[in-house]
Amino acid sequence: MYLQFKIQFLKNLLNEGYFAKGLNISKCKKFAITRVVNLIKIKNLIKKYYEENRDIEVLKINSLKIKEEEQVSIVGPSGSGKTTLLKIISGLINFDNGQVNVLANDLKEMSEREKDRFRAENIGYIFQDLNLINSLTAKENLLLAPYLINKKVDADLIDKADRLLKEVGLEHRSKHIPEKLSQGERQRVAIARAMINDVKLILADEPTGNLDFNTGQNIIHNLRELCNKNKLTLILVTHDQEISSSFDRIIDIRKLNSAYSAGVDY
Amino acid sequence: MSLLKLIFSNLKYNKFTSIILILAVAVAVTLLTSVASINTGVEEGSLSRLENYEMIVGAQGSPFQLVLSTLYHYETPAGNINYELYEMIKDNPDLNNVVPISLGDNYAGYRIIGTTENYFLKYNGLDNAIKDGKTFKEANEVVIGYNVAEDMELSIGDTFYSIHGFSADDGHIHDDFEFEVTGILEKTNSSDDYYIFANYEAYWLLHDHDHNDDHYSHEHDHDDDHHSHEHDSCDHDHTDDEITAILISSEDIVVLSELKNNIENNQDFQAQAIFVNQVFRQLMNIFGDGTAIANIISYIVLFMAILAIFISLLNSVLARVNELMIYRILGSSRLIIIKIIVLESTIISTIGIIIGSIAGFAISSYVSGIMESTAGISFSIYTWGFINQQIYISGVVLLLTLVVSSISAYNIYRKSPLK
Repeated sequence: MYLQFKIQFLKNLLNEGYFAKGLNISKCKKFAITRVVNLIKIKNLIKKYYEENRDIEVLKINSLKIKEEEQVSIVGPSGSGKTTLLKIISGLINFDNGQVNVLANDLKEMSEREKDRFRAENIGYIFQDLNLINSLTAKENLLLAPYLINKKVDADLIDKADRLLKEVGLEHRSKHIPEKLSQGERQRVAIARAMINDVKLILADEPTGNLDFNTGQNIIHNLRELCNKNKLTLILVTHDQEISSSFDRIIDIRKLNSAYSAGVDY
Repeated sequence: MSLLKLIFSNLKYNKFTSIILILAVAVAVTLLTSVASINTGVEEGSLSRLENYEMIVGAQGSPFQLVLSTLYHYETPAGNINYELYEMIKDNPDLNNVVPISLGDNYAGYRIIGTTENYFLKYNGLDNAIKDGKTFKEANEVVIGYNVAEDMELSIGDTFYSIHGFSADDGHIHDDFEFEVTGILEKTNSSDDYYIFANYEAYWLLHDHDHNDDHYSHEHDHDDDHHSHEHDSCDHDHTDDEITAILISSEDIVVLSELKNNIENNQDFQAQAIFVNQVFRQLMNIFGDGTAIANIISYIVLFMAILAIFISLLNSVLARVNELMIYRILGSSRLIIIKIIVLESTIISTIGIIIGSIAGFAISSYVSGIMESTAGISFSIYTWGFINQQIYISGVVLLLTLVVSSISAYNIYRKSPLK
């Protein structure tokens, strides 16, 4: 099953324009990617929720592409489908129609287990809150992510956790449990954790929603810097215009939905 | 980082919830253990008292009262029988053992049993049963039970006066007849630990003194001390001397039946002879309703305990849905989440079972002590039967834990709060 999945993954890569040097199925994660192409490709996506005895279409997207290493902010009012889009991209929820390709993988074709594994290895997810396990220290929260996908927690990994905590300015708080950390510090731990598995894509769902302006700005600055440094793609959902305007590309979710209704590409 | 590290971190972090859960399981196991142990123990303990004797001869009246007062020392005897009856049957070669019993006095609430060394044949003789000192020879000599010696701090050579009746508080003190402790019994883990044993003739002398002093009339009737024996003679030709009952042991049911007929048909004795097992069974039938109620209560306790464990564990898991969803978002397989929930619940249950078992055994042991001293029913909790019962209870609670935690894990497996 997993072998089939890997073969499909390779075919998808080739179809999408990726070229792999020294093709080796058993080491399919170590490709040298030579062409920058779309990391996320969405076509004719429809997501409905069933509420009050009727289907409500919360998300309609004709076409959306996000490139590798791109940093995108998604804006829109509450209930417009921003978070839903992130959950679809991460494979946390299913969609009703259309095609969603992430890292050349057709999410519709993947099983729940494959999506769990794919997410763990390729996507770092940061929420507004409820990011951390309360009973574990900051460092343990970081080490949890690799442990859960059966990575050996060895000295290298522990060093990496220490380095990431240093990069988010929390090396002195590594042994503190979340309730001893401020909200901003908790978000920094969540950022560090999102990156510990060498992922390709960071999804951040209003990570500064509960923070004051300055702290929020600092955290976003820190997050963007780390994404640049590690060549990661960042999709950030925010209500904050100040934050969204600092991004090169801003996607207004309402316009995406309108474009679908009008039958045009966004 | 390991699964156990994750589990113990959570148990430590949620100390209060963990303690409440452990207590819920512990209380349930304590209730189950004590109710089951006491139910089984009382029945087994009651039966064990019957093992030594097949027949009791006593004054006419209620057979139940005769069994309860003679074997369990729970009731007051209905009356006395003539000593000659004992003389008549004591040398019957077809009987294994014939033991006279005289009751009616106490010391500090501990009943004084007038008997012979035959009473101690169940311990292969009195010499074998005595820890310190020697057996009673003279009428004023007594051998005391282990707990009497401990509780009253009595030792060899100590003396005391007995009190008329079965209550320590309001009986007449026989201050003209001094008993001397000559022996102390080994611990027998039976009601014998709470008795004082004297020669049955002591009772005659005890009340001779009262007559001679003209201080105390045997015709009087105490309203308050359940006084049972009424000696109306003080001469020692035994013609009118009395004892309370005779315990008889024999495997020959024909001999016993003939003896029963002879005793009950002889109008001179005004006595009854009862088959202990038969009366005990009748007694149990009468108590049948009570036992059924006790069983119903046990089942209610069991149900409540199961419900408490179920709700507590389920709530504990549901309260952590968000946390468990973080595991899923981080890519954890569902198997790991199921392992975390099931292992955590199992650890909580195991600690609860250990605490509950210890508490349950302590309560059973305490109740056993009370039953021994008040009703003559003793049961030991240190037997394979009780251990098996505890293994069964622990197994049921653990199985229940596995079922509940699996249901909770399955719920989380199916229902994601993100969806």
